[in-house]
Amino acid sequence: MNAHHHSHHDHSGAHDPTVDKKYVRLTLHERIQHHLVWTTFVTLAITGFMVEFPESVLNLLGTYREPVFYWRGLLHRIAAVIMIANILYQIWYVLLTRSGRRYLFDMIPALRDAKDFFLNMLYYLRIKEEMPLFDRFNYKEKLEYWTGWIGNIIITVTGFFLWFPQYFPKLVFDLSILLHTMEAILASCAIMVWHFYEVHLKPGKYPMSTIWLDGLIPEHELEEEHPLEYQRIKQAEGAGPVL
Amino acid sequence: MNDTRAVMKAVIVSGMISVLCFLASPLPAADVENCDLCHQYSGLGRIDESGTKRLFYVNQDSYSHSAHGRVRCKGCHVDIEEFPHADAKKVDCATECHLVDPSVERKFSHAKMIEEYNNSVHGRMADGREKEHAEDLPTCTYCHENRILDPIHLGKQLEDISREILERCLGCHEDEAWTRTYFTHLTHRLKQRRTSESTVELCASCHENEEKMKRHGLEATGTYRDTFHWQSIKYGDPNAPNCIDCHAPVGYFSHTIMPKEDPGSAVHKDNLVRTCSNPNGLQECHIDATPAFAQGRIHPSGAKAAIFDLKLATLEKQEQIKAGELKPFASMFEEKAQEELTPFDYYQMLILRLIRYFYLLLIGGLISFMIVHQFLDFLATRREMKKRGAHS
Repeated sequence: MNAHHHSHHDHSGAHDPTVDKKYVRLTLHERIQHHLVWTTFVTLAITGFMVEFPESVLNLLGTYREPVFYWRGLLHRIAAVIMIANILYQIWYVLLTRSGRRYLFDMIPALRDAKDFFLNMLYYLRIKEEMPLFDRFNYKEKLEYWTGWIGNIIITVTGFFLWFPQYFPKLVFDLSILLHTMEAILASCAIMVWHFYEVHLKPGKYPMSTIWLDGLIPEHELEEEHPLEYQRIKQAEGAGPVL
Repeated sequence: MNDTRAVMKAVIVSGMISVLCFLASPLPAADVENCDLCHQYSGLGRIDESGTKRLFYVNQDSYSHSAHGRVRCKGCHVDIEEFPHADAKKVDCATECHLVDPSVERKFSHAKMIEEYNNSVHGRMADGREKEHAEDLPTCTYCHENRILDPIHLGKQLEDISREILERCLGCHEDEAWTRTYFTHLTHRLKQRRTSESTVELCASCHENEEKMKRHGLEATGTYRDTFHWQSIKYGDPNAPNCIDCHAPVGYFSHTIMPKEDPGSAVHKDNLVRTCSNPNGLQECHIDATPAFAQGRIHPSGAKAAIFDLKLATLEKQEQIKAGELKPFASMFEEKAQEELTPFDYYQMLILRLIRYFYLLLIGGLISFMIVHQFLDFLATRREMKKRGAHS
């Protein structure tokens, strides 16, 4: 976790330009999982909401309507299977690898997160001067991670019922189609507001944070956004030789 | 003077052209009654007593290629004896027309079909009396529109096969025009004549009309367009079911549709498993449908499952709720529905509704919270950056 890399290309607007160190924030496993999540999510959202398109839009497709519908359904199912496989990958990773267990452990919500949220609100409203000191994962990231789990379970189970509706009572089908649609709307909106702001639109991050690509966070960002983790790393570094 | 000459010229030229067309066309443009003399003009029409604009133009070319192309005008408009003529009576589709049905060698008529239709749920008579609001019920021409014959053609290379088959017919049937007409007549019927979309629009033109349905003690079709059935029809999926595919599947007939309480209805509760599994149909449906699956209501009004329920928040409904005419959560439990719904159905719909409202609140609440939170974060981050900019 406290592996670090040397970089000579730190130009992300650092307040201390002498710092050019980068730290690992996402391991290779975590990055692969993220890539699988975002590609399948985008595919599923597009091919899913396509059934809600009004006729006027579909008429623009002309004779391609039918093949488009066929591929829409097929792609939705393929992406769904990959997404489910990725969930199993994530379960294996957080239970059976050292870095995965660490990840899960750091993600567990605690009372401290409620306190952090409250303090952060006071900071936003200019009642407090400083924002609270966050650890490796702050309350925003924990909220996203765990609501992601809940959403994934609901979507997967209802999606399975929708794939094979005839074997289950009609109530199961009615519930599934309702929950599947509602959960999809909720998840898509949440991703666009919560996640896209955090990693794309936030001042200093625009056009995007590059952590998802190389997994590395610049030292100054780590210090600002995750000061408790940073202190721990520094202490560990202080104990051993610094490269 | 000049005008008359021009008209004469036009008549002669068009006459010559139609003679040429007559010789060239496989179908006879049979205007032996001379109706075309006036009805060929595309502007022919008037505004009738009720203020409706009526058009009396007949496109001979389209007509001669239509399903009735071989029937002369007076075959249906039987009351016209002279010309120019006064108002013609409405055509009765049960009229015996001049065509001889080759199977029984009697004059052809749609009377048998009309008799069956009259006994169906759409028929005007019940127990020997005309039904209430019979004027709402569809007549023949509400659904049937003398279509242009469109013989089956299964792709370019199969046009040759069509010609090959026709050649064989002509081996014995010497009159080519006649043979071609019957060939077209038959193969036209081998395929679905309306698109599924157009079938849905046709049925929905009445069945989605709440006022009209209420007059007949029926519930309007509220949520068909939220179903996956409709969503796949929108994309032109040939496997997607339109109204007819479930209400008159193989073994039933669209002219004899019965109310769902009647055991002769495809959507009667005892027939649902077969209707959903559609064992003999062209479409591949829910082959392994179980009784638990094939039950309940497919497109009830008032139980909209999708989020795009624009009606829900209309002022009208809110006013109704205020006036105590409509209870929130209970709009679908109006008299009729309450009689029909079993307690199981009732609670099922209640659960679905509550979940729907829960999710609407959750989406609205959570996303609003997120927007406010991120906006505050935006302001705070900007403040922080400005502060830092001032320091350095």
